[in-house]
Amino acid sequence: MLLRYIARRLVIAIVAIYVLATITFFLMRLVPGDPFAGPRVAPEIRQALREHYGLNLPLIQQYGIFLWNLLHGDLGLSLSSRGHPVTDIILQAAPVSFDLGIRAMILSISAGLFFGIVAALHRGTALDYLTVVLVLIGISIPSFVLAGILQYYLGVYFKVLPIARYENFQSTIMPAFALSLGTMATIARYMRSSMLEVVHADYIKTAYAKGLTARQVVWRHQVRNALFPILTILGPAVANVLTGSFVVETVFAIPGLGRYFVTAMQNLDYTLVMGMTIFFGAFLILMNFLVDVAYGLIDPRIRLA
Amino acid sequence: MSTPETILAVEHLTVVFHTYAGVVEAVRDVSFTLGKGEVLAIVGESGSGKSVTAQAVIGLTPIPPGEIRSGRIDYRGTDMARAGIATLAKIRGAGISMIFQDPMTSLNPSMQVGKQIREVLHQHRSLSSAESIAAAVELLRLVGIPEPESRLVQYPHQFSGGMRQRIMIAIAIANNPDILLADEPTTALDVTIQSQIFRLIRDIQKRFGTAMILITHDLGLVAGSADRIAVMYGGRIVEEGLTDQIYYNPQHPYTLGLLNAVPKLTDSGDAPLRTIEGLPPLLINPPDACAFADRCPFVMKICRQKDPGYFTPVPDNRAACWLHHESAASQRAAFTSARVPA
Amino acid sequence: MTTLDPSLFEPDRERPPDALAGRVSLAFWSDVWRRFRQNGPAMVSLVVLVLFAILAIVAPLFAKHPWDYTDLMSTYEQPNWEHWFGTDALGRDIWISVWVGARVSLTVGLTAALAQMVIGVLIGCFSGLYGGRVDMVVMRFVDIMIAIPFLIWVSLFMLVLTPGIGSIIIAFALTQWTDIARLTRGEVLKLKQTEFVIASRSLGASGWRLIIRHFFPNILPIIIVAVTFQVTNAIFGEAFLSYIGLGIQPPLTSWGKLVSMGISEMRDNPYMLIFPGAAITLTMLSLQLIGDGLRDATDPRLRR
Repeated sequence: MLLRYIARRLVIAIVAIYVLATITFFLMRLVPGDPFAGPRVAPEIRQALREHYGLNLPLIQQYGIFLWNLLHGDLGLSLSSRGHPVTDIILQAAPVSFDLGIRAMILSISAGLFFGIVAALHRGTALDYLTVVLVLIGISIPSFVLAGILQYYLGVYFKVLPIARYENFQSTIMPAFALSLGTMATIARYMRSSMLEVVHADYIKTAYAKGLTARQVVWRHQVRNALFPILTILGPAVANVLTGSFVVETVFAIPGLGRYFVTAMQNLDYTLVMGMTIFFGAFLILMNFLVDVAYGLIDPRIRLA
Repeated sequence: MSTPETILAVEHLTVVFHTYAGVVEAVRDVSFTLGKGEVLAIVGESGSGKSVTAQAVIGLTPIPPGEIRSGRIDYRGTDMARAGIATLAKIRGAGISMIFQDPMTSLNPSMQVGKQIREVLHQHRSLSSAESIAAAVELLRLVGIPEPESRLVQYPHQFSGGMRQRIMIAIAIANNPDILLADEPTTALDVTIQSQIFRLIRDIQKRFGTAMILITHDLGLVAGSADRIAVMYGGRIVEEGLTDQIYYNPQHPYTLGLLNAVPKLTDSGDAPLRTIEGLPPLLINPPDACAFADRCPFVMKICRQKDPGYFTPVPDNRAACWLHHESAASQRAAFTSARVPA
Repeated sequence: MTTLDPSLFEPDRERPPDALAGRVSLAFWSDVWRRFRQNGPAMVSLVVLVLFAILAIVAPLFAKHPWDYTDLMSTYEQPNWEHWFGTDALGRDIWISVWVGARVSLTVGLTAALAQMVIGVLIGCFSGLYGGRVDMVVMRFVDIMIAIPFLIWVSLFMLVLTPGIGSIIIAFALTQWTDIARLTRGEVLKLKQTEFVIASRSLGASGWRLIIRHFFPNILPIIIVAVTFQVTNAIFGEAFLSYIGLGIQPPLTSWGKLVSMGISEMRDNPYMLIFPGAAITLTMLSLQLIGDGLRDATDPRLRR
């Protein structure tokens, strides 16, 4: 049963990646005019690209070539970086982004869960209201505004933290925090409402009827069951961190995937954009798949169906 | 007949709830006692206050929005209405246990069933793991779950509704409580399973001599099991007495209505179901009057002006009805003749 | 026992007025409004939004010059009595810029959200009504669309279309209908199990009227709440696009553009970021609170 569940999810994931690649391919072909004719593309590159992509061939053949290349990990050549293979650019920038992203996720999840649980347990008190307010601000403030403000006040005004680049631990603090706030707020809010919902469940009444103390009921029964729905937002949370990285890396001048993507868009570097889109998409689809698998392993109702 | 030693004494209990529409008086001045090993059935419609009463006995009234405004719930010297959390926690699950209505949601879905049973054991006794596992197996066997050893590690969703209720019963009796509260234990179950589970509860009660408060809306259910019956309406006990007397010689029009509502074998197939006209009262700022007055076929002027208090028309009984006042002779006669012989 | 007047024991013939009179029954929408009104933060947010909308419409009308009037004699001015929010690199008044930008951002937000709603409801109804294979295919398609974060979708579309207000709205509408589609489909499925089945037997106009009468009141609150949140996404998305240059083009301006300029000037002129930043944040905060308030006010379970 569990194997069937995982297999189905895997098939869906693979199909999704395929469909995404196809959509991206055709979308890029919709660009009016010749995408490779832009002023930023050096002539010798243009020729190499024409051959590489077989632009003279019928569309279907181009599509075939595209898929074939894709399966071999060849995402084409970048327009604006002198024909650098897209794959290389991605591989070079990925580690930085992953490092930043993981820090942000750890921060979001731990702080988010903490605040969510604490707020729910102290419902109605000042602590609860404070958390709710912080959550609202965290969700509402756009990441670029936050990044800008942090950079100014902590970096320039108070000169507490470095404002750019990504060299030592201190320089990771602001970007990681800016990146994590939105997700932290979302997790806190969901955890809080999940805890408050679980508290009305019948099995909590049963737990009290057994003579358990409040602390025992909360930790053994309430928190455990409140965590389940949080798993379902982990997938979107990763997506949020990923898109947040576009802004945060740009503002803090961090040489990661996000910044490359933004510059690629600004430079109309279609091949790079396309390649990165497929990469991002595949990554997120994979992440969602992993979350699904994790859910299947943890929820006994699925594991032992 | 020897009176069993009293193990629970509820005195003038009043429980209210603060809602956005006002203060609802769910339980109004309720008093009763429970003897050792005795089975008391509390019967009434939804909203009569029966569940709230049971919750208060075990100290599970949600506060807020609930509030125990007055009264005393005496269990072995402890006032359950006022005791501290620590005291209540010691009593719950050991001295007083409760079974809830819906077995589908009363068990923690992410915890093994065996763990949930052993949890209540470890909470009140010092046992080793091996001992509690053995005890849990025995309990499952006792409540009729086959192959208990292998089922200990399973999760609630792997059991049917009836079996989950059996597990609940196992948890409730694990520490051999003095009092077992059963709040509509069979209402949410399949009709075919209902009698099985009910018989199980009865058998266990008899076997261990546990005192029991059985809460139900179905008068037909408790005929063979209860020693005494208390009928609740509008937050009050309107009649209380021995089982036989309640069934054969009811002293309150509401009790009569409930009895008549139970279809009898002697009814003809297409006879209409007998119901009690009207709806239960909304208990916000209830007036000083009989709560049943608006639905009572024997209502008198005084019923709407003053609350009746209790009369004792027959031995071992009390009924809150003006019909038993000396001046109500003619109406009482109408009431007596209205009682269709069983 | 005190003696009581025997006449009191005569049967009481008059029946009292309906006991139900004690229960307060309200029409649905007035009840929603009543509950919403009790929500402090939501009401304040409503006021704030209305205020912003009024300012967006009215403030530029009272300006001495159009927003992009450049005054090279008064560049980079701190907020003062003449320029409430200061001026930017070209001497443009930021107060006016913010409210002109508000027009764009709010319009884009609202229009995009409404367009999404239309598409989403249509697709959701379609998928739910036909059920079976069609439903499965559509839902798989939705899953794939959801797999890509909306910013990436929107950015892709913007690359293909020429940047501008229209394209932004189209980009959003074509890619963000998924949430509403899901919700609609869910309600349609629920409805299918109830009256629709019976209605379809009586076929024709009466069936349709039944659907409309029962279906829309159920789905409307859910949709409205969802749309409110979509407006937040749309405003954020537009700001993001403008920030990276793919959004609003001159001669228009939007909050995103203003923030983007503000960030580059953060070091010396923080006010250039703070005012537009605050405008966006407050708007999104207010929408969030209103969305929450609406959801709480329309939730049948919370009717204690």
